Amino acid sequence: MNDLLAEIYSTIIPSAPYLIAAYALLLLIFFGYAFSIMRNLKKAETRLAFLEQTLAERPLLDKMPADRPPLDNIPADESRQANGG
Amino acid sequence: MKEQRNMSRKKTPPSAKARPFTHDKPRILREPAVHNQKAQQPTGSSGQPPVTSAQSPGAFMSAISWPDKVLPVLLALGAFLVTAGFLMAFLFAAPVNGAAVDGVELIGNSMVSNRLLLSQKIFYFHMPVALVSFAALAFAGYFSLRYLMTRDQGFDLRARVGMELALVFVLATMATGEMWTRFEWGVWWTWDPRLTTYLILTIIVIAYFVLRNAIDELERRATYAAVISIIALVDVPICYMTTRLIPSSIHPVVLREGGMSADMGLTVTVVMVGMLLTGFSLYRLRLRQLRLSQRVEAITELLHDEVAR
Repeated sequence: MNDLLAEIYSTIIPSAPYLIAAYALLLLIFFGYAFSIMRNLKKAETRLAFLEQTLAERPLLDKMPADRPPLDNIPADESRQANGG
Repeated sequence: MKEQRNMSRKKTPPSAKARPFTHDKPRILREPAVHNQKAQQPTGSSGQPPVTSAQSPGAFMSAISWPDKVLPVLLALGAFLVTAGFLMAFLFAAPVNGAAVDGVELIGNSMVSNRLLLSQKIFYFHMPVALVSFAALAFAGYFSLRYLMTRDQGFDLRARVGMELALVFVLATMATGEMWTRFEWGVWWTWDPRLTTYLILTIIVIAYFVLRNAIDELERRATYAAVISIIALVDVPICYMTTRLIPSSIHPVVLREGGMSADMGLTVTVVMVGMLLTGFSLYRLRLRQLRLSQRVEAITELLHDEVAR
């Protein structure tokens, strides 16, 4: 590469880290937000399915002791088990 | 006597007493869609709580509307256009010229007499993302205004999602802009009018969520948040026009006559449309998730009350 070409391309390599960082941050922000939405959606769907199951088994609910733990304290895996998932 | 016994059985059937919900699906989930929950109950002044999406039956079902049906298509199209725009930025749009060099060199089919700027490729995403952040703020401002007019919590929810989306795009704009500023201007930050007004906008958007988390009372929180959202919207035209109104601004002005070549314009347009579709898809997805969460909370509360009784 001659000196002129070296000068023409002189900013390419030094700017590459900033360019990569800009696109990486952009992707990170969007994927982070999309991931948080999907995770919350999954959580809500799991809880909804568990509640539907609970409502379907209403007689069992009546027999539960009064000091039973609140429904929203049920761990995710337990509620998934209750849904057969 | 026999008749009396029959009457009492009719009044309170044992099955109904034990199971107010049906077995196949709870009644609360099968209500018809209610799109507008406007002023179903008197608000603050009468001492009664305002209507929430969670309290209004069928609010969740209303979330399954036409935009949600086409959501996967919109999201896929948005992702495709953004990816295509990314490829176009590097493979289709010609590099922008920087400072002149002493001489001319033939590269490809063109004579080059300037330094080629790779950092300018950040612009293809920086500008569309900034414009979408303005659009998200416009939506949030509109819904906030509707909330103040109607006191309908559904509008507050939409405004909140709009502001969330604005925050995502504002952060993306700041991140990409910072990288460009650091390389091109050699500093992480400068008090350029455009940067300053956009920083103010960022702080207002963050303040919106700080305020929301600080107030527990539903109606007061929604009202204050709506005001903040409208203030953020007021900053949008100031931020947009500042580079045109203040000549000393060093931030480039691109959207003007002759500001972009055809290949640059096409690339920016593709990314812009892709970002708009992606932003709208994320908005609908988040709205659906929040409505679903509210329904789950409402059903959980109903069950708690039922168990307590």
